Amino acid sequence: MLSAERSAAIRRVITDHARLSVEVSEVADADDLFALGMTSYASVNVMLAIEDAFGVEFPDRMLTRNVFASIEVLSAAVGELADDELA
Amino acid sequence: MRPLPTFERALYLPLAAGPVFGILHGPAGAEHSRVGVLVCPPFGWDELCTHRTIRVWAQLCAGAGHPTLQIDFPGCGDSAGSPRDPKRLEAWTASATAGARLLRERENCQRVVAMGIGLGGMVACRALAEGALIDDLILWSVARSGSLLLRELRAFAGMVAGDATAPDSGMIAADPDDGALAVAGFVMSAETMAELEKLDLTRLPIRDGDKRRVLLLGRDTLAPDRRLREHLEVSGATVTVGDGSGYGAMMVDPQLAEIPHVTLGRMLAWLAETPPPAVQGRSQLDGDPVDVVEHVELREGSAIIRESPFEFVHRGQRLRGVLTEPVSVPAAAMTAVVCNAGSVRRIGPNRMWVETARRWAALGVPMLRFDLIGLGDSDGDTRRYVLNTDFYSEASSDQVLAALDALEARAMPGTFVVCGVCTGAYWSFHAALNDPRIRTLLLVNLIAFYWGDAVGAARDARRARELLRKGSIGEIIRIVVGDPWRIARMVRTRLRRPLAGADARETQSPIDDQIASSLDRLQSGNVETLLLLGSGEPFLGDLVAAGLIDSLGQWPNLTFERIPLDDHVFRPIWAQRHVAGILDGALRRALALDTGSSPRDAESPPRSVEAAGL
Repeated sequence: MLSAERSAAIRRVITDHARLSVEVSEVADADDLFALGMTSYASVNVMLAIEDAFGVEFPDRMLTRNVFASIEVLSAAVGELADDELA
Repeated sequence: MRPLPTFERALYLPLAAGPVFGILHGPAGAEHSRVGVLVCPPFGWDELCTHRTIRVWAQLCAGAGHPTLQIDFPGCGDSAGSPRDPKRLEAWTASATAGARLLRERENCQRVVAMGIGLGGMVACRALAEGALIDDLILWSVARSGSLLLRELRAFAGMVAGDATAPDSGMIAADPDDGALAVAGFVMSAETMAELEKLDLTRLPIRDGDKRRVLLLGRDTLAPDRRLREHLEVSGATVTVGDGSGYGAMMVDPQLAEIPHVTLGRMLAWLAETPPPAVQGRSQLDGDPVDVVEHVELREGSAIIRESPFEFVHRGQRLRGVLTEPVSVPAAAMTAVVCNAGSVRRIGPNRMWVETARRWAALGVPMLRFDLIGLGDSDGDTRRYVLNTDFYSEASSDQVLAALDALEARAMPGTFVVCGVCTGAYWSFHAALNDPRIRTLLLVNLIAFYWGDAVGAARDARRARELLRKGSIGEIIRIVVGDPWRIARMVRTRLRRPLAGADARETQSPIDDQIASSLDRLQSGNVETLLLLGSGEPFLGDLVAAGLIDSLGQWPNLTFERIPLDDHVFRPIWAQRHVAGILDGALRRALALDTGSSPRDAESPPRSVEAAGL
């Protein structure tokens, strides 16, 4: 999956589960999702939804706030997991 | 169909692992569906968020003719025990089993549907597999295995731990004592986690599967667990799948939680569908019948204490709580009262008020924990609290005073210790200003002595200055975009400034004449007051910014202490213990004062402002 497609898919998950205080279309890839209203609880829903959407599983080392802090970091993490699957 | 008149009754199921608190809702008249509903709650934070939804759901079911029992699992909510007690999974399962039996035996239900969210659904499945008189299931956001649930809880715990800052961040996530996990302040012991790791719902037998119905709900757009669904279908159950919309909105926060009316309606419609013949008839009710009691005696350390439901009516609304009283120790001449912290129900953040009540009753002090109108188990509309400003209404403190009246009417000691966290502290402070019966005031993470637009706007301005200093322009822009009401408040406050005399509240500094006068009143009334603030609390920021910390020293009845943590409800286990220790010390000082001995003789002497480290 191309990076742009991945980012778009992550945005759909964010729309459905992050419960941001702004429209996702207004969020830049590097914006801090927690600062935009995503709660810790919502971030877990995002985690589950991303795993469901991409068929990946976040290892424990990735279950941190940093990994879920922005679309950019999330996309990189999903890319890494997808590469691991292929390897 | 027009809802039937309903009743509601708090009760206890006295089980081997300790009494289980429950609330039975049912149709008040003869009309009865013969289908009962047992509600099994999720764990910890999820339970706090869903409690009001569960209450609404139970009322809807009762109005449709279904007797409905909502229970708190052992070691959770108002039930007896601690989450650290052994064999929790077994105890939770036994409580679901007993709840189903109560609906069969006492409410004459021919069929019982267990509705569970998260952990509650897993426990319902386990109870069914072990022979509980449960026929059908509604499973909402239920993982197929304990290991998946734990993974989610660990992830949540990790995300929450990142919220807080403390001098030693290593103290935050795990309890160094015994490997327990603190999930947003709620403890799950290492033993319970090990029990859950072994639980796999897809390996549990479902006998008479062809006679059972299951409504399987996902989590908004996330479908229900596929393998759990397959297991249920292979077992022969009639499985209906739904999306469980509204799940995220229900879980967002106890204050902002939205009742998922669409999904509740969906569940109610599913209940109303004609069920197949009952799996288990009344003839199969062998063994000892389930008992129900109105109050329970518990052991707290070496003391015996009693808990009982406590209700009173205020402004036509029924407010509900639990009264904890000493039994085996001499009763002190004072009563403690606590209510909600924000929208968190009466058990308190991290279940702190349940634990406090039991410790204090063991010291001889009865304690009432109750829900204000619209919160927890009390009557009224929760939506009134969606706006923060509705929380900081001094008028709400009259509910605290009504609780004092109700306690005195039941012959409880008429000298009171009132304590609260956040809004609970706010209401307590204002109650004490209006009632001389309150002699001790414990205020934890108080938002302000008097809340108003000016206080909020000043805080926003201070934060904006800090962000500017750090060069965080982007964050300021995001706040402007995300919370435009803050800007409106700031503008409104600025515009009102010339009208200073018109509204003192809008122009007050953190300690203005009104506050000073209030603190004077508490002093002249000999109200021992503890102000306990976390390091990130905005009120502490107000006091520091205005250089007023030292000013508090002019009121000798006021003790100021600091929690060394930036977490509004001190979720780390060490912080919970720290706060409990301070509150217990304050109570001991109050007891010492009350008996005429020097408060200096009490275990934990009051600390001066200097000793608070600021």
